[in-house]
Amino acid sequence: MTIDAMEAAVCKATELGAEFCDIRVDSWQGLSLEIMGSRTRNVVSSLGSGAGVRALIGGAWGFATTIDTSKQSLLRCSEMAVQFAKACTKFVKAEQRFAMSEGIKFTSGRKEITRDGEMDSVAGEEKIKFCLDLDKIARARSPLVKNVVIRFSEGFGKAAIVNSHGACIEKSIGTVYTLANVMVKENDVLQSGGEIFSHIGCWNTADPAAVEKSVIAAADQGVRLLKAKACPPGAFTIIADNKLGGVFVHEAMGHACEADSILAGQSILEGRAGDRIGNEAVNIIDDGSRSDLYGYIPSDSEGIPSRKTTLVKDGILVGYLHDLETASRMDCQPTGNGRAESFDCMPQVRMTNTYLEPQDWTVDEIIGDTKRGIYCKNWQYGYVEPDKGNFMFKCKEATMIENGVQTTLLKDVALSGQILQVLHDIDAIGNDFGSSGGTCGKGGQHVRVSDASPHFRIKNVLVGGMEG
Amino acid sequence: MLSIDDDGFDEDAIKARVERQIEALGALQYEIFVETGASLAIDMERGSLKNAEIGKDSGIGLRVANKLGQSAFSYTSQADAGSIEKMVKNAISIMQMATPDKDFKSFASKAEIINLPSNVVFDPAIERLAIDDAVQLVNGALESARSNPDPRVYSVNVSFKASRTRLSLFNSNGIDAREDQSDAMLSCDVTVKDGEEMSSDHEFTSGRDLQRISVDVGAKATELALRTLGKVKIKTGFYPVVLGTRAVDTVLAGAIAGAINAEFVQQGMSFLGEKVGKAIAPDHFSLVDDPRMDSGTRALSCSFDAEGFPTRRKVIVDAGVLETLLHNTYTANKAGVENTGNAVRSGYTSPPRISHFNLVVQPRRDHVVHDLCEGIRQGIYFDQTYDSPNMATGDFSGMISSGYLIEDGKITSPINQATFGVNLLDLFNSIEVYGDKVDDRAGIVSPAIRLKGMHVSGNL
Repeated sequence: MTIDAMEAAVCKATELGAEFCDIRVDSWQGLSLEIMGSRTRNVVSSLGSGAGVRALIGGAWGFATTIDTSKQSLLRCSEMAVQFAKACTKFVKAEQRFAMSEGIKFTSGRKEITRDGEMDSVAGEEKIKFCLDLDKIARARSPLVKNVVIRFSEGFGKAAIVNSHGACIEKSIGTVYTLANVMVKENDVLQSGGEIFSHIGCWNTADPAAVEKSVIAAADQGVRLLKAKACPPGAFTIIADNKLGGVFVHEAMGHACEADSILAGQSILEGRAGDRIGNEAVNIIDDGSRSDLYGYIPSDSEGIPSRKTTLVKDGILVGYLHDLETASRMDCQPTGNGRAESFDCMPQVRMTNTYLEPQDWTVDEIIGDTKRGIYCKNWQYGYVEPDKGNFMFKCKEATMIENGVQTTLLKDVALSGQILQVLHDIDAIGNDFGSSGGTCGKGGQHVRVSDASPHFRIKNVLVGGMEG
Repeated sequence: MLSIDDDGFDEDAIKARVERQIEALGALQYEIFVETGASLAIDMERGSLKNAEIGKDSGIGLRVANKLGQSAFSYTSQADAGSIEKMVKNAISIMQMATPDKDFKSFASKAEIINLPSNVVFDPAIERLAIDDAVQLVNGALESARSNPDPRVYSVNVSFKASRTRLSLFNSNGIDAREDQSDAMLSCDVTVKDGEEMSSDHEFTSGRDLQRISVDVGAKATELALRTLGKVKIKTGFYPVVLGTRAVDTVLAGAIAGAINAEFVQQGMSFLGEKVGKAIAPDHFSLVDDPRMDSGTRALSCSFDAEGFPTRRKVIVDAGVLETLLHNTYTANKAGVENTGNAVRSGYTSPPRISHFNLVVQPRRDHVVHDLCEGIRQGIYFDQTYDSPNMATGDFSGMISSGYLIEDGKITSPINQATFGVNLLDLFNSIEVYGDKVDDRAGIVSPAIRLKGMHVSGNL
């Protein structure tokens, strides 16, 4: 019934003058909760649905959204989307007019990564009990643990996409995300350790032992950090572990390769395709089809199948990430990176699973070869300003390296660098590989992603420390 | 265009329907939040209109609790009988799995709400806004940005968004609170290029009414962006610092307001947890949380909080002394103090949390000066950072996203790349003087502020 209504709405938009039209109908259910002070807090059950219709006329989009997914409502959205596109069309500059490229291959049929009912196959009560047990596990690690925050969130989403170029897709996917934050205190020193677990699929397919391991890691990290010293400020050689390294690749390179910021004149990488931007050992990939990583999508929000896209090959910038619009405007194929947070958001160019390919150094060799530097582990958050060329991220934990040996433990290390310089400064890439899942925000929309990398070393990174 | 009368929710019918369901299922306490909204947005890319959006989003959020203090939250975006029944059933079923909590006494108690005059929080002109009016504003901002003929201006991107919302809150203590609200924001991003150097800045104008929206934001953004060209590297060191209003929000006023969230404090997770009644800043510094603000942008003004409790203006820091934490019903009951009415929500999809409203920095007059840079031989004008502090320890390190050198009392070159590290209590105590120009930046009203200094790392 929904698909019929969607097809009718697409036809309507086309009749009214849309050169291209697509429509997405989303529905979702979720369970999320927080454990704080050994008690449940904010146990949330969610249920929702909605639709968005997008119409393209003369290079401008009209977009209308509604929570009412009846046929009548979708038809009204089509009218509004066309009306809004027309209101913009006369203000589209000639050089920015475009038509959707022909011959684009859309996904078709059903992609059922998680089946209906899987989320309910494990009772909510069991999930809550599991989270309360995580609190006990963390507290048992040390008498210094003063509080434990566990956030658990499980979601199941279904989406249908129909467009005027023949796409007709239905997909469903579940996700689980947990975050442990363990507060520790000794004398007057307060510290915290944190760790994330992410999983594609509902809780029935997740590994509880892996979540427990993440909680133990968070508690142990908090206790370790009690002894950590403030970091000295200045420029240092740093070694990034898998998790921090992944975020580094995401912030330092991934965002600047998103073609919408290139077209908006807001990326420092505009016009640099084919240029050497890094050491020849540097290869950076985005691959939404990797179903083992948290940024996995069977297809993007525009119905383009996910795929592997090489951004940097042997240190040369070879590609950008595209959605339907940027690919049409830049005369290339879309890469399956048009993603919207939900039905009420326009798709934007977004990363999926972004990683640096491994090379041949062992981790011990990288550390042993470093005379003076900082070994940075795991991340708190990161961000980039692609139009300024600056990026910044914070690691959770770090150790000083002196003459190839790890010495002082450091806390609150903030790292900052410049996109056009930093890939040249990578001088050792490890042979290992590890990832972490998370959420990436852009233009007010949040989507799940994963970032991955081997250990690697970068020279001359600016570190914001607290010590004089 | 943004009228919600035709297809908006019927709040009274929803209230009756939820109450009937709850009665049948036997929960003791409940709180129903109904939100009906419509929004319009336009984006312009490099002087060319790119997209226009219209959205109608409505939903119902329900909290339930029983005598044992077990509580849960559930929401639905649909108001039909089946969806409401499912929402109520889900809420009650997960409530029964939640931990009993003896500190939970009740949802918000009924107290007299004095609604702000409707023109303080709602502008009918936003409801009547047509797509062509919005296009005109975006084009106006573009023209304003382009009025500066400087060839180094590389790209101008403009966005406009307006929304109107009707909020209703009912609970089992008899609360029946309703308010119409509107918001509008026009923002402009300007990227500038000079040879190989690329940089940018942005400016926005926002408020509860359309009259606050000025297309001059374009020219301001251009001016700000051009100012960021010609960056110089700086040496690592301890510098005197002037915090611009954008930075005051993140590293000073917003940091204090964030750290006095009573929920975090009660969980032992805030560095200001044990500071109520004690000095945390010099005696010339005061900070007010004012949800009743009736002039200026009034961006976060509202008559009642997200639990339906009346909002009130409160002095957070009075002459340097931390006066209060920010409470909701639960934390106030637990601590045995008065509810400050600081519950907020991100919409019907999330349960209430604690936050501040409009923050107003109030310096003592004898510490207000005309020229904050006067007497600084070498210092930093700290304009903006996107980082956030460690609320548990008060340690704050991050990147100065936008900053300038101060040399011999004058703001000179923008700085290339710099990071900072400071403990917030040290930073609060290092406040020296305040500028005489007050900036109202939607949610934060403050002059620029001079600090004794902080550690800044550079790459010279």
